[in-house]
Amino acid sequence: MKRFTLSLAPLFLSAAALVAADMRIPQGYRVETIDIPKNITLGVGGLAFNRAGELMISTREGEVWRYDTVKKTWNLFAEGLHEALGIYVDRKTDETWVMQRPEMTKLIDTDGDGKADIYKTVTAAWGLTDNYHEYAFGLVRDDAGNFYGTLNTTLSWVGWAGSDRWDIGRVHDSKMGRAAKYRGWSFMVTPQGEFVPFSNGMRSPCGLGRNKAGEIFYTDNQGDWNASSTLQQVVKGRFHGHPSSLMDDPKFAGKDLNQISVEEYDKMRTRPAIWFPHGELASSPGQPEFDETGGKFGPFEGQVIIGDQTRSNLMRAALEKVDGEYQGVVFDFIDPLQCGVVRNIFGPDGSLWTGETGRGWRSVGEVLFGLQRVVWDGQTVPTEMHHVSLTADGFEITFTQPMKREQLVDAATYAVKSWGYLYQGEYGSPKLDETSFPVTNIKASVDNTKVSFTVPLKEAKVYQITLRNLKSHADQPVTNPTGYYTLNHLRK
Amino acid sequence: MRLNIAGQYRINRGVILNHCRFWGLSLALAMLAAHAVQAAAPVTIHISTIHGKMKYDVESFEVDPGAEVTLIFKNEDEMQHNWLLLKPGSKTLVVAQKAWALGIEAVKKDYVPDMPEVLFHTKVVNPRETTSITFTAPMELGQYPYVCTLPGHVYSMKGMMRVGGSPIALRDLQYSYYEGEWTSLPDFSKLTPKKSAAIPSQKIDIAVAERADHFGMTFKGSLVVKKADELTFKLSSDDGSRLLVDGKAVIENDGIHPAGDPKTGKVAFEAGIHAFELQYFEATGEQALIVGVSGAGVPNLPLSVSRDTGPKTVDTSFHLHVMDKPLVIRAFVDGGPARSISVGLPGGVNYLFDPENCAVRFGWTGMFLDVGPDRGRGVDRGGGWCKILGPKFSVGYDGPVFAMGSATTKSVMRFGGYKKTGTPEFYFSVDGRDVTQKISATTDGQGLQYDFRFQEQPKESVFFHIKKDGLKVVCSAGQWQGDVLQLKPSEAAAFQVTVSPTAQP
Repeated sequence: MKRFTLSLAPLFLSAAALVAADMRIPQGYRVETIDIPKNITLGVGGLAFNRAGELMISTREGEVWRYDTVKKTWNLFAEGLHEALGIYVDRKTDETWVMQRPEMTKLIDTDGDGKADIYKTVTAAWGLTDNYHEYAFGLVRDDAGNFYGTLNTTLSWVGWAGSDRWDIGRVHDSKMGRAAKYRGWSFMVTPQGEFVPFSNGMRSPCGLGRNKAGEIFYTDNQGDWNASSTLQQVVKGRFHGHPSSLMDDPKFAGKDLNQISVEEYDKMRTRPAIWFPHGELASSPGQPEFDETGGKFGPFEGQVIIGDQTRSNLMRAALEKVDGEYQGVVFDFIDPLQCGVVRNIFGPDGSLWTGETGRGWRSVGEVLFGLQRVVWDGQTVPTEMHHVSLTADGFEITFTQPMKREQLVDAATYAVKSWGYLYQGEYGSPKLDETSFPVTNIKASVDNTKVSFTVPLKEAKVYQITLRNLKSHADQPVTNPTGYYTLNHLRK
Repeated sequence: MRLNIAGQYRINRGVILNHCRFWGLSLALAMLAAHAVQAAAPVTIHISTIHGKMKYDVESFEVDPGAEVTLIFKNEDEMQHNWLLLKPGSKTLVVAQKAWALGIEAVKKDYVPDMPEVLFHTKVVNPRETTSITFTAPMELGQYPYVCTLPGHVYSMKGMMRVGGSPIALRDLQYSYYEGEWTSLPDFSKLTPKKSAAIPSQKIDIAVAERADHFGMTFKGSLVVKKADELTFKLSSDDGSRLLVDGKAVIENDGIHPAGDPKTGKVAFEAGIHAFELQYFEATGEQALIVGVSGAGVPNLPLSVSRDTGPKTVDTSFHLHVMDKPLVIRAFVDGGPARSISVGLPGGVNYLFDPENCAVRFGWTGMFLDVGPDRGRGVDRGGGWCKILGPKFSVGYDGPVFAMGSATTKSVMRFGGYKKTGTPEFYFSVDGRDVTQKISATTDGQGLQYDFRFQEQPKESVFFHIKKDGLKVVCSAGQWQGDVLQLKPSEAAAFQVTVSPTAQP
């Protein structure tokens, strides 16, 4: 222990302060860092609030901590779990469930001493090998009481873990495969504990979230069959694009997945609602958390906040339904925090708690794990694009406050370009057909909070809209002047 | 003058030594240096990323000034990486942060920030891809850091290219290994070594010792000092050691003791080649030999392999010790299935429960579990197999344990969880009938006692299977037929089985 501390301490010291000073954050928001006792390793895997308003934190180290956010006390609720990457607490009954690698477990405190005594298996219906990449993520619950989780594909890499079961289910030389059942699937667990395979084609589905309407979304990580990281809606029967999981789809029973062409898979898949351009915005996004705070977190009610494990930033996305499917715009929001963000949850007071881990992959920032909280001051209106909507012939941008009219109506304010991505078994994708467009037909609203313009539109593209030096009526610059709109469907 | 001493030692050491005798060192060096610079041979350096470790496999290498360097960079990791060579003194973190701040430009620019610090770089290399670049090594001697600038990688993914080598270096290093029981350093010149060999890495390392206790080693070589200065040596060892330069003791650190704070010795050196000797012995217990030097513009040059930070020897263990309460841990365990539950009972009996087959797979005595491979010691991804810390014993596991109605029924086992507090109990069902299995240590502390309870009395006979060979198996009820215990419904409602090895494992 002593040796470990010594070897890392200088590294951390030298890194301190540099990052924090460069953090980009909209006006009115602040970030607080929670002190974690020295004896706790808090590689956050899941966040939930209980009935008493305490934060329950499940960790990669297999523990569940109960953190009293007022008294700032830490109590161990459960331990000895196998990488607990998700937690759900019923805020009426305090019933607690965790997702761990081998199973979904209900943690029951029978004697009321604040510690779980019974670790009750709810379901363990998926396959598991000793491949470290076979993560299990969760948990969200719909209004009918069904739970949802996701299962990572198998890392198909020579030499990992000494196992010989890695080279199964690779499709078109993919880097991730399927060494055990239901890898690459989302699943539903009924209140009776029945496991229902739900959707497939996932790669590294690190985060799940639900909106007010009860719709489920997940994020996936850039890699094979994933040109860039994505936000996608989880719908029963949907194929998200990574073919290895089809081994467990009865429709493909007995078929050789390598005989099916990329073009055919491309037709089967549903395109992501949001592309996060790789490296620019995100490299490994975590849980999508919808703002249902009723305005306590600022003017972004209904939008979704997503953190990134590599870049340690928070992003903000606004979805809209076009032609029956979600698509929308994503912006950077706060960049960076102190460590890779995998989990977010809005607390009872409307502040956003972020759970962080950098272990193994590293992330921007000097610490290896942490807990932070983003608070809005309740009054300052940030200067941001609130959202971007697709119109019949271009886009309409809505701002959080009135902007300078002369800039709003000036074509030089807008830099718009678009590109596409390759769908392939190889890792990632370059940007295809990167094209810049001039904007025309600019119209600003009377109150200077909206602007619309015309640009040539094409489906299956990402449109990057950057504001050049645009300032608010109150002379504030836009904190995050670039938005990325994923255009899958034109308005009909 | 500094440039003139450019890294020719590797090229023609023998010639230097010959010249020294007649003309004096500096003249010889100056002549050879000019030759060496012009003749710097092209060199190919292979660097790979290590899968899952966020590291380059080569963290330092040396080239001659002006040499044409071909870097072959192979990405063995599942993530993208790059390689940037920086000017001496550059702060890798500052450069990396500039790269991260490129934002939307980062990918297009291969995460290479526009900074004077960056000398050469590869593109971003995808998993399983290889790239190469060729560049001319700078003429200026020094240490040139290299780093991967993808977000977060800088903390562990970096290294150092040395141009012209270090102003201080060990050469022609050889070790001799002796065995014997001493309480202070013996006169090695009167002893016959058990083995001797050259050390191509030129790093002092006691890892070649053939046993952990009662041995001694000497390390002899040349200390090449390219710039006259006072050098400060630091030496720490467990047990005794002595450092001699040009035959004179610089540091005395004899006797039996832990490594502790290093002892220091200072010597003023002329530029040239000096005889170096380090003597060391180990009695019993811990072993360590750490030696370093500073001066001649080098802040701190380790002359020994650092057993603290070397990639092969990072202490990744994380031992869980059982105190007064049982510990129950779910993690991969060497020899267990992917779904494994390890239990350590107070008193030093431990076992692994397999929740897929609802049965104990094996037991072990003594210390409990090293979960370091699961936790990655706070640094790595983890997910490795944890290690049991005591001798394993068989509990006769041989596939499914329970069969309902007949010995050959393939009964469906379904795991239901466990009670963690008190003596752990496991819940499962056999063909839909709920069973509790409480597991405790036998009174002799050598085996396991199972207390089975069927929630409702079964309607048919219950068959319990255990491979008894080599075991002492005692049951509270039922009839054995070979390895199968048949229990009548009334007996099965609650019965006890104890399993202990008959011989010491």
